[in-house]
Amino acid sequence: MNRTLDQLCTLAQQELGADGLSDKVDIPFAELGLDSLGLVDFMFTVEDHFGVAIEHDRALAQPTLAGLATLVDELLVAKAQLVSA
Amino acid sequence: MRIWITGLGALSALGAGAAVLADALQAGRSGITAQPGSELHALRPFAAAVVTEALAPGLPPAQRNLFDRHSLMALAAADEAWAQAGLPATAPDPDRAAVAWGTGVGGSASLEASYQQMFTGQPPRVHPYTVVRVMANAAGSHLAMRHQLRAAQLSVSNACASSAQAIGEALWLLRNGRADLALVGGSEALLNTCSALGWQAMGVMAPLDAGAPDQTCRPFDDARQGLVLGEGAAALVLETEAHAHARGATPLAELAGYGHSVDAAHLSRPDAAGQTRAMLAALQDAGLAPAEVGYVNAHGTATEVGDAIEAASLQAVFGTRAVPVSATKALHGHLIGAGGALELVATVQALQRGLLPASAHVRSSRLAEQLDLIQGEARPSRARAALSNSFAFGGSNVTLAVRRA
Repeated sequence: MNRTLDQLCTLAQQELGADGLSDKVDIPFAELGLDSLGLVDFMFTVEDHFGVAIEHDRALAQPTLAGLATLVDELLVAKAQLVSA
Repeated sequence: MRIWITGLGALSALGAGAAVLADALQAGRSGITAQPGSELHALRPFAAAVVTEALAPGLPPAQRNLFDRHSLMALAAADEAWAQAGLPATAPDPDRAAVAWGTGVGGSASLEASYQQMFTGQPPRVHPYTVVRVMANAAGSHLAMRHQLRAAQLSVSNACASSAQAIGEALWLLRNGRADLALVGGSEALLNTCSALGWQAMGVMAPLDAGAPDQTCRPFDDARQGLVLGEGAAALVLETEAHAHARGATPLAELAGYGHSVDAAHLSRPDAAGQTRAMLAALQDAGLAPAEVGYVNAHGTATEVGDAIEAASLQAVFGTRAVPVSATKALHGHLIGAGGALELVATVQALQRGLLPASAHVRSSRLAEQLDLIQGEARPSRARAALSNSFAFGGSNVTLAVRRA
C-alpha cells in the first residue's frame, strides 16, 4: 500500500470511527458508510490533509479509497510541478 | 385530558443534568463568566454563560459533522429526558410520537463559520453541511431520527419564547389526539463573535462586572443593566396520562396549561397588556385560579424596562406581592430560544423539591413593592402549581403552567 493510500485509510477510519479499512480499499464509499453528502464532507478532510483541491466529479469517478489515492497522487504531482515551474 | 411530564433534561453553563441545574439554582451558584471579547472585531469583553462540557465526545466526525453546536446540545438534554422517562431507544409507537423543538437562531456558529470561509478562505470553500446545520429545524430533525418520532415535528423559532411555545403547542397536539408522546424543548448556541456583536450593538447586554463577572446579571435589582447571554438546551418528555399509565411511567408533574399572546406593538419593547393576556390564558387553559399558583419563574432578563413591565403585568394578574417570584436567568443566563424550556425544567423541580430558587444578586429592589421577590436563600414552599414566563422580541408572549404530580 502506498503512503497516500495508507494516510487515506487512517483519515477514513478517524472520520467513520471504524477499524480495518486498509482491507477495504476497493469497496465503494457508500458501502463503507459514506453517502454522497458524507463523501463531500470527507473530501474536505482530505483536501485539508493533503493541501489539494479535489473536484467532486473526479472523486466520484472512482469512489473507493484506492481510486481516491490515485487521484490525490495525481493532484500532488501536478501541484509539485506547478511549484517547481 | 391530562398531560404528564415524565422526563427532564438540561445542559447549561451550570452543568449537565436537570438535577445539577436545580442544585445550582437552590445554592445560588452562577454559571456566568467573563469572556475576553475581540479587539479585532470591536467586541468588548462581556459576560456569558458558556457550556463547558464536551458534546457527544464519542460521535465519529462523519456523524458529528452533521450537527451544529445547538443540535449537539439538543442531543445531550434529550438523551437525559428520554432516559429518565424510561423509554426504549426507539419510540414504542413511532407514528404516535412527536417532537416539538424551539430555537431562536438555530445554527448560528455554523453560519458564522461559513461566512468566515467565504470571506477569508483561499479558495473560498463553504462546508457542504452548512445548510443542514444552520436550518432552524435541524435539532428537531436529529431528535426525530434518533428516536423515530414520526407523528409530527414542530420547529418553533419565536425568539425568546421559542421553546416555551414549542412545549405549549405540543401540549395541545397531545390533547388533540395527534400523538400520545412528545419529546419537547429547545436549544441555543449563539455565543459566537458576530452574534455577540449584534447584542452588544443593540445595547441590551449588561456591561461586564469585572469585579464580579458571575453577578453581572441582576434581574429585578435596582442596579440591573441588561441581559447576559447563555447557551444550552433543555428537554422534557410529555405523555398523555393514559399512555404514561399504560407503560407504568412515573409522572414528575403535569403540564397543565399554555397561554400565548402577541403584542403586535413593538419589535423589542415589551407590553404589559400582552403579557397579562398570556398569563391569564395559561391559567384558564390549566383551570387554575391565580390564588392557586405558588410560584412564578419570571422572564426577568434584567433589562430596566423589561423587568418593570413584567412586574406590572404580574401585579395585574395576581395582585400586589401575591405570588412568590424569581428570575433564574441571574445564574444560567438568557438562553434565548432555549430559555423557556430550561426555566420550565427548573420550575418543575422547584415544585418537586418544595424549594423555590431565589432571584440572585438582588441588593435592593423597588420592584419588590409590587412583587413577592424571593431573595437570599431558596424558599421552602408547598406550592402545588407554578407558571413560567417567556416573553420574546417580536412581541410574542408565552406562559406555561405546571401542577405537582
